[in-house]
Amino acid sequence: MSVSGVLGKWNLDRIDLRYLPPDEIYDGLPTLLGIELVNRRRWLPIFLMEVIVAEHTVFFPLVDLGQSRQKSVEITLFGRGCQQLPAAAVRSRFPVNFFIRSKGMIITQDVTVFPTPQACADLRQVDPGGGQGTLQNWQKGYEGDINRISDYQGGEPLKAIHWKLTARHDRLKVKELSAATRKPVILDLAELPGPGLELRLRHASYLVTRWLRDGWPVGLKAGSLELAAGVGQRQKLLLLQALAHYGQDQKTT
Amino acid sequence: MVRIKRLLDLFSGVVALLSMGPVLAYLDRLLLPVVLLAIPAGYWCDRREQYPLPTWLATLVALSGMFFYALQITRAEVAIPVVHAMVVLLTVRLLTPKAGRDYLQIFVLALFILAGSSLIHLEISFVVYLVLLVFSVTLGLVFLTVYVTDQKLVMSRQDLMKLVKVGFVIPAISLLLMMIFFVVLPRTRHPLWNFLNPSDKGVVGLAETVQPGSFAKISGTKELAFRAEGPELAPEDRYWRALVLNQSKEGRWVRSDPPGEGAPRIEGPAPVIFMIYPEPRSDRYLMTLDRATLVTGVRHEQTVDQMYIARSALDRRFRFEVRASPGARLRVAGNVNREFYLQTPAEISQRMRQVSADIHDGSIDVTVRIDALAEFFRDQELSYAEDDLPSGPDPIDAFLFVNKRGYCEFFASAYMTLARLAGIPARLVGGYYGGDYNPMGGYYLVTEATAHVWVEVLAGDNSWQRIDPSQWATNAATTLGARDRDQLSALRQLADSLNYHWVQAVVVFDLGQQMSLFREAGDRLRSLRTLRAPDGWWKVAGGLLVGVTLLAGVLSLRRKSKEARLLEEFRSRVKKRYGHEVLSPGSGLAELGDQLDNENCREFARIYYGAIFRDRLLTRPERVRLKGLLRRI
Repeated sequence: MSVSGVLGKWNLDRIDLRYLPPDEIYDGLPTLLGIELVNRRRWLPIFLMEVIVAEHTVFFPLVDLGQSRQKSVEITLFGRGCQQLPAAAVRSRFPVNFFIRSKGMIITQDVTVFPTPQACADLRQVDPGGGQGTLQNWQKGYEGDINRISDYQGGEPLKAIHWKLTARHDRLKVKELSAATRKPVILDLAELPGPGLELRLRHASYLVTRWLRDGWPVGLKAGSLELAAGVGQRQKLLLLQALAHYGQDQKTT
Repeated sequence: MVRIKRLLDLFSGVVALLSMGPVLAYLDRLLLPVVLLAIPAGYWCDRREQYPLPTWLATLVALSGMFFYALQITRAEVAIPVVHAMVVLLTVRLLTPKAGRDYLQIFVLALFILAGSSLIHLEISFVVYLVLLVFSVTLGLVFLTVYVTDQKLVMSRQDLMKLVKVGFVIPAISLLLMMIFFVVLPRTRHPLWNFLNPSDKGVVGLAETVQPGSFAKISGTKELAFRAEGPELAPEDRYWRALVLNQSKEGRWVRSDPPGEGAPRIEGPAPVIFMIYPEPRSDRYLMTLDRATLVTGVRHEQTVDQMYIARSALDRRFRFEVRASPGARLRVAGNVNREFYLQTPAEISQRMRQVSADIHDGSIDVTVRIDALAEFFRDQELSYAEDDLPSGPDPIDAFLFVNKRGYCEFFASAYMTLARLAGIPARLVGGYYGGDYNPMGGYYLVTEATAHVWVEVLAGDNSWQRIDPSQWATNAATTLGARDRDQLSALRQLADSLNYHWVQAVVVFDLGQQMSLFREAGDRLRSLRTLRAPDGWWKVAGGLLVGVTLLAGVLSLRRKSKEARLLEEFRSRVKKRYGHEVLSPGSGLAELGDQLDNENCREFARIYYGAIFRDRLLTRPERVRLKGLLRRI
């Protein structure tokens, strides 16, 4: 009994837990949060560890010495803007289920939660200057040739997934296609339909996602904030982050 | 890849086999083949997930078996029927579907059966079975923990070996600790479980003076004074002697070194032997049954007045043996210094002097005087009491003539004073009277509440004779002998038995006994080599069976998985039919099917990938289908 108790205690010692959040997390929509369990011990593998995050349990049967294992859990965050990921705890019945030992893990990690996309009328405004956001054929899009293969980031359409390659790897692989040349569009938050700011932000989130997917270079005008038009995943995250934080700085200051 | 449930099933069989090994030779002829068949059959049923007995029938069989063997239990034979009943339960459990707690039941039953086997026949092979069973059960518990956490878990062989290694560490360290505790525990003074509830008990001791009247009320403490293991005694023989007081000093009876006497001779019934387990105490007086003839097991000195004093402090737990003749007389062969035992207190009331003078003048025969003194005490109608006690300048006089109530010190002091005044040499003896006999442990439990004082007088035949004046109290039957009676409930008896056995088996278990245990084990090992064949073949067969099962288990773990074997056969058949060059290292099954334009290969790939890419093992129908396809390639 004593030996099993000591082993059970050691099984919880010197372990690290890390969150691997996806690039895109939307307000109120379920998303897969990556969890990495790291073993910092020198002689005892991590055995039968259950990680509890937001009432979900993820089971790690074994993590070897100095190694780490990754799994994911479905979580839903509510409210746009900067948010803290939920607290986590680990527990284990190891070695003989006489005791279930548990330990809270302190992980302070903030993520940006984007406004939930909500469909609206397709309102477009072509950038009159045309100088900014000029497209080049190597930029990411969804209609041209394959530029390269990359890991799935969470926002790519189903048709972009490269199933054959995925079958040979542990992770989902997506085809990055080149974009067809289109005229830049500046999304003006003030001109979007809707009775309140939150609804307009959700419409904006929808339009940004949809236009970028269709290969349109998209920029943003929101109050004093102006972002130049562009394409690709980075531009999408830039715009969505601007929408997520919009109005929150003014409230706090 | 290894499915954790498969391992658990295998270990259930191994554990069952190890537990039944030592009892195989004692099983009924009817039960034996069933048991031997049930172990492999249970494993086979677990693999097929088909069981011969529905749950209701299994329960009925188990209950019937238990009832059948329960009827065979007699006072003379308990172990064999109980072991049979447990074997029936285990057999039924092996042949029924198993969830988490069912495996636990198998492990527990296996341990009980092995423990039960030691009651039937104990020899050195038991230790071998015990060690193997401890290892197997611990590994089984580790696998069960994995199974409880994720019932469908499939582990790689490398991961499994890591789990097994740690699983082996637990019993290995436990056995090592057992060896250390084997040496350490006999030297602990208190039961280990006392750390949960530390005792605030102080060290007890007998009062070395007797001074009645110093308290208006006394209350006996229920603290344990000692335990005495031996036969049950008649109430009049339960006098435990410790201390003799012989001189009066400033109103108190104290001890002074007695003058030398002639050689004593004990005259009385045949001696009985008691093993005494005293609690740690501040004095050095050894309690003996009155009268002791021999004390062994502790370094001590014996005084002329039959006191036994230890040479070293009694502040630890130990035991010593006393040989005693209860109720015997102590005849002194030579002269006794009568003047020493006739000294009286300085202040004695006139009434007491008158009573003693009457007795003294009544006869010159000491025996007559003793009888007269007894008569006086009875006539006074004194009562035994522990409160509202006499006090004042002469409490003894108040006790005898006014209050007429007091406890043993009043009775003994009054008697002693009157006896000495009447010319009867006398001395006070302190110790304990009574004690509760614990039939579970076969010992007397004597508490401080039973501390007692009585008197010894030198009778006419030059022998010291015990007289307990407290017994003449009108209420002696209900008070004196019953002082501690209400304390021992059945539960307390049980708890005290546990403590007693702890002290007996662990605390006072010294190195000498440990060594003799080793020697005994060695003797048994030697006798094992000379086992006759008819007795031994069961053990040999049992050992072989265990060995073969373990080997089969290890081999089945080392074997490639069914999936890997099927894939190997697929590649072998493709190579045989289409040639070596078609099998490039990176080619997948589906690509191969397309390349060869073989529908059987395509279907094989579809079924195989269907399982592998869903992170599961192939089902039995799938394996049958794949084998059919392989034959057609």
